[in-house]
Amino acid sequence: MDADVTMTDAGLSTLSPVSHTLSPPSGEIKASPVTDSQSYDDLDRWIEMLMDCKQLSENDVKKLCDKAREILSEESNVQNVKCPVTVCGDIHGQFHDLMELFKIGGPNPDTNYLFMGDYVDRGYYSVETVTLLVAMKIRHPNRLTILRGNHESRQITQVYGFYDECLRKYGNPNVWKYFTDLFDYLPLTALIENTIFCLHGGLSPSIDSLDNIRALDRIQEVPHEGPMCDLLWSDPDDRCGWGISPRGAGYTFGQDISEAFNHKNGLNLVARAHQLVMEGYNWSQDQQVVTIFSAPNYCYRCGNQAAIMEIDEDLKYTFLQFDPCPRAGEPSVSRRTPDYFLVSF
Amino acid sequence: MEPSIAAEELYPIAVLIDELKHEDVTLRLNAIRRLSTIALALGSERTRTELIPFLEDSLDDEDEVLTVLAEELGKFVPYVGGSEYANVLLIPLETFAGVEEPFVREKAVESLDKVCVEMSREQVEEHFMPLIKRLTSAEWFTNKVSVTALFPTVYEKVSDESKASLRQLYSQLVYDDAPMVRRAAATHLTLLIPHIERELIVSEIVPWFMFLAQDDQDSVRLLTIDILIAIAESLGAERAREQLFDQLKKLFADKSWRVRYMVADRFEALAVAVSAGDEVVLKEGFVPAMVKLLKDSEAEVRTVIAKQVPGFCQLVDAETVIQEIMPGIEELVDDQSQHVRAALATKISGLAPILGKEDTIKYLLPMFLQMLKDEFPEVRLNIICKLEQVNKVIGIDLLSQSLLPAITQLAQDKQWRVRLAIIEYIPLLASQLGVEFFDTQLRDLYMAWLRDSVYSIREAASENLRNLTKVFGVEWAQSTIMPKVIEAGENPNYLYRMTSIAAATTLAGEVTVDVIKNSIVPFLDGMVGDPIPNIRFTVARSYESVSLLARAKAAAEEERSAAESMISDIILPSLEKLKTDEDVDVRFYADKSLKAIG
Amino acid sequence: MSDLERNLMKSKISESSTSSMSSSITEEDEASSNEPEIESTKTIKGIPKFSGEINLGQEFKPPRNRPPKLRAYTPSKWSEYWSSETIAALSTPESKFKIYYTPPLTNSKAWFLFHHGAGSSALTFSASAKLLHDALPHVGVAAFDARGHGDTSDTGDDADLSLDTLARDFVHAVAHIFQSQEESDDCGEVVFVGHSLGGAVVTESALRFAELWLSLRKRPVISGVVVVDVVEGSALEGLAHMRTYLGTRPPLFRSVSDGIKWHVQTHTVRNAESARVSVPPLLRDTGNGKVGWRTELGATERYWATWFQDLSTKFLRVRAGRMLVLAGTDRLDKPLTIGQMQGKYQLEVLPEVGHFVQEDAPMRFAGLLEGFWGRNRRGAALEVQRALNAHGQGATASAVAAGGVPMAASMPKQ
Repeated sequence: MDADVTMTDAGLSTLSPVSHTLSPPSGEIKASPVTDSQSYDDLDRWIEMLMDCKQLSENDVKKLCDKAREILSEESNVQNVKCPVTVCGDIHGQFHDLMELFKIGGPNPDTNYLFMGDYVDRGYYSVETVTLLVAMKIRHPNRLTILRGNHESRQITQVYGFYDECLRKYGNPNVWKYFTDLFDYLPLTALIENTIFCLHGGLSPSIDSLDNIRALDRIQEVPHEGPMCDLLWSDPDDRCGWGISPRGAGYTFGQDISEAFNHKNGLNLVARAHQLVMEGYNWSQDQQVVTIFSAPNYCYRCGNQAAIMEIDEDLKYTFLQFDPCPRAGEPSVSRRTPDYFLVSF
Repeated sequence: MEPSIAAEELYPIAVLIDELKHEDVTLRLNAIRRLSTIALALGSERTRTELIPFLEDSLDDEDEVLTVLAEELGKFVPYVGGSEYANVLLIPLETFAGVEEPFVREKAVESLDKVCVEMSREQVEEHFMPLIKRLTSAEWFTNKVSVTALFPTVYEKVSDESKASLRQLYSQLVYDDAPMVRRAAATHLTLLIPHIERELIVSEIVPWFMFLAQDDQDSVRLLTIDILIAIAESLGAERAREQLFDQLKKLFADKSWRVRYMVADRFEALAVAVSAGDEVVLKEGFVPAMVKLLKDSEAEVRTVIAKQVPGFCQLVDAETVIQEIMPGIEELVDDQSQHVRAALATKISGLAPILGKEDTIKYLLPMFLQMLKDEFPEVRLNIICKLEQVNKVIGIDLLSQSLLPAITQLAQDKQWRVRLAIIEYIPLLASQLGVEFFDTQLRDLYMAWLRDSVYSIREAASENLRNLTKVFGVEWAQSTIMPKVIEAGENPNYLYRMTSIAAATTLAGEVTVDVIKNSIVPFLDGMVGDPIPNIRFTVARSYESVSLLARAKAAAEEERSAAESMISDIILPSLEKLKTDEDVDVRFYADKSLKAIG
Repeated sequence: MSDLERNLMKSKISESSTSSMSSSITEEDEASSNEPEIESTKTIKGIPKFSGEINLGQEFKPPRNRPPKLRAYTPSKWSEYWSSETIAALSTPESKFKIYYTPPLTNSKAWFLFHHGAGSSALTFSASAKLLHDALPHVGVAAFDARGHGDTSDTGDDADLSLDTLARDFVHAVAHIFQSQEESDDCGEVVFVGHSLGGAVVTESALRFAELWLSLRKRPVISGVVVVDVVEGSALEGLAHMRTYLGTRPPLFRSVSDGIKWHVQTHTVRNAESARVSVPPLLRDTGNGKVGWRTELGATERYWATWFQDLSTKFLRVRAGRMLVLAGTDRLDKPLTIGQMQGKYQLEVLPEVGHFVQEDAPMRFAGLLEGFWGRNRRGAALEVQRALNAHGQGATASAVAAGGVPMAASMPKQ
């Protein structure tokens, strides 16, 4: 159970720095809608509160989501991202483990991040988690990219906790509505330096090329089927070709599919999240696909490690694994305590 | 409340009343939350004669409505005309106290208790006593479960005769056939005992305890631990022992782990309450029990008893601790459950003050060393975090000597929090061990932390350079540390270059203007053209701190002009350049620094 | 409180999922919410009718327009939901197992086979099986009363509720259904659906299907296994308190209607229509004018733990489509959480329903089964493969020809 094993060895740090050319100004995301220093102050204050796991007022969440929508609607279905960047998988409302992630990977904006969806549901702090990430996105749009996961949906969040949490924490479903309306604007996929393709779920039989994705109208609830659903739901599989997903949504795709897709689109790698992997990351399909999962001890019971993938300015990957943030107070929960609850058969 | 309320103000009330009867449950709930508004508008008499009877008919309503209603009625005494009419509220609340849904019952009981507090003694005798009787002798268990919580408040407000009858009623509940009733009776008995006259405890309450403590349901037995503590607090330790000690010994060895878990969880409190410091009792009654619990077959029990060790050991002499308890503790160091070992690790250093220097070295240090190598990181971490307690007892010299090998190993621990704990400890160690020892034994270790893959380690290592410089001096920082920092600035990974900027900025706070000007600022300025925007805005931010630090340090005129020329010749031009950077974040921080430097 | 509010809010939001019965109520909700805000003075002026006085006599009469919570609790008949019933000798020659079924409309050999939970009966699936068959007329539906339950009798040992025996009985029931159909080349296919204990039984049956299948007929293919509202972790933790729970049930009712009323009022079953058909077989005349429980659950205590032991890992080992349907919130144990997050089965959580999912929300439950059938029936995978692989063939071929793509960076092997 390594706590944090870096996959590059110490020798790499002795390599001389690579020469870089400054990327042309046209590559820059256009100036954020946050312009006046008052808004920056508001945002910095909000982010500070959120880092303490304190939620914003309902009204501030509304303002936040309005601003975020302006920024996200400018982004592409295949959002271009520059290296260096640290790529992260599912978070699922495990706020304290997200703080742990920043302790491992470094704070934003100092470290650039790309999150591949599933910020909410299951964990106890979906509200704080997603509010923080959205606030960070607005504050430094060039330093943080957030994609859509299958849990960023009205329907799923009503069953797996985010809806209930909003209701519990705000007394009404408005905050849930602001966020789920915003989720429609999240980009579906990202493309790092034209070589690493990042998305939440996986490939879709309806999609051959990145241009197919660019042509989608993403501003909608995640549909039950079709290309947009597949991108957020599919999984890689050991079997060749396309298969029916046991999940009941999306497809499974084999190595032949990912090889063809990477080849056709000039890609080196598909990086995706969506599946729990015990080591936090997992190569599959002859290194055509990597799965990254960033919620340690998922659901507070799975015993898995989490990982993030640092991509440096030379496109080298380093995986950092991490364990759950130790909860304050008692060292650890034992497997049972004398509590009572009833079931019937 | 006055009848002269204008029609316009009454209209909302009419709407609320309609909503009270509306078929949409949301609207009914809304209306019930504002029941006091309705009552206020109706006046107290109509509230009593019309509103309350109407609400009594709501029993077939949804549970969520009943829950709110039961809660609201607890605040209703002022609206029915004050405490003299409080009894009208008892009727609906009594009904709600008997329903299936526990939420509704819970709120009804809370409200009944609130109403009881507001009633006069006569009213309690006249109205509340019969209610207690009815609920206690009800057929359905829900009423009986509810009523157990009402006794303490009532007991304080009635005659001796009624008190006797309350005790009689409570005993019915204690001896009830249904386990959930016995459980409720046991739970609330703890709260009732402080109200009961001391002379009656032995004759009336102790038999209840004996009965419950032998219940065939472990969920009942485990509740008797708190009852026992309550009895002992009321009777005094000596009399409590006469009555209860034999039974307590049986609970110590109960066949259900849940009961033993409760015993272990309350062990120190039990020992204090029952022994009152009597050494013989502690040695003959409690020490053997603790020894047994330390060897319990269930890991949960061992986990909770491990946490009680220092607290309990304070009650007995060090000799007994060493002779009797220590072997059991030593076994826990090797316990097969990591949770047990982790629990022990948080508490074991608490034994150091009890044992004193010599015995800490003899008994505790070997255990520390072993637990520092535990395969479970939490165990290692818990030990390190509590080293300070041991330090106070045996002194840093001895501690660092015996721990140095372990510390060198932990400095490279796989768990980053262990490494972090060690970094925090390094300045203290360094000050004790001296510069030569640090440079030969620890420096390379320390420099490796500046290149650690985990951000928090890099950050802590760079932060702690401040403390190290305080210990070893500016000269040392300039000659030994600065070159290493500059070297790190050439790392191909932007994250490590950022650490070197942070380290240089930290050092600026501890060194002279001269060093800032001649080695830190040139180093920073070399990174203004870094291809990665994150580095450029980090430099921009750093320039603000460095400029302000240099100004603050400049005491002599000569230093002042050196600082200002450095700012105007190097820092400001660089910031101006960054202010026109292509990246918005670089521009933002450059602008911010320019404004701060002025 | 938040629970209550949440439920309320939810019912407002998920209008699509409200049952048809409440649709008229929903409409009235809409109408009433358009009424003036209580505190708005503007609207007060807008309504001249108000006399400025609260009418004492009228106000506190018992509410007239609220639908009574106590509905008619009269029993209804199995035949409203199933086309046929039969008595079969399954595990022992003289046993009389009660089977309710509706055969496929065509000559197809596709069946959904249901197994109820402990203390329940076949008719717990009445409403949802009927809806499923209405939607998929070419698929048959069948449910039977397990030994010691409902109208099954003469089993030899009613108290032997070991998982092994229950799985044998169930597989024999499946064989019996198939034997009643004409023999053909088609071996047929089945989906097993088990509620609670039944979930453990169908999982066990699926894993040991070949071993337990004694019929001379060809063994049908298992296309899917659906487990309803049981999770090993929470079931095992709850066992310790099962006795307490059983103790809270009234031992006797004055009548079957009273029993139905009890089930509805205690929220054991949250749909009176379902309870009217599912509760009667749970009760038996005691001879003194009262009715008591058909199945003495307390007597089966020695089997409780064995029912659920390893259920999660067994479920994940079943080689067929897998679906887990849970009531209320997801309370998965560790293996199931990992399995779900690795995409190994379909998880459906139905909010606002109780343990008897199939009775509380028959529409939604039948809808899930229908969708599950569409994806997991024999041939579905093949059709998808064909359609999709034809679509992606060009790309696949070119990649193979190129012989893979070299990596720019050194990517470490895992």
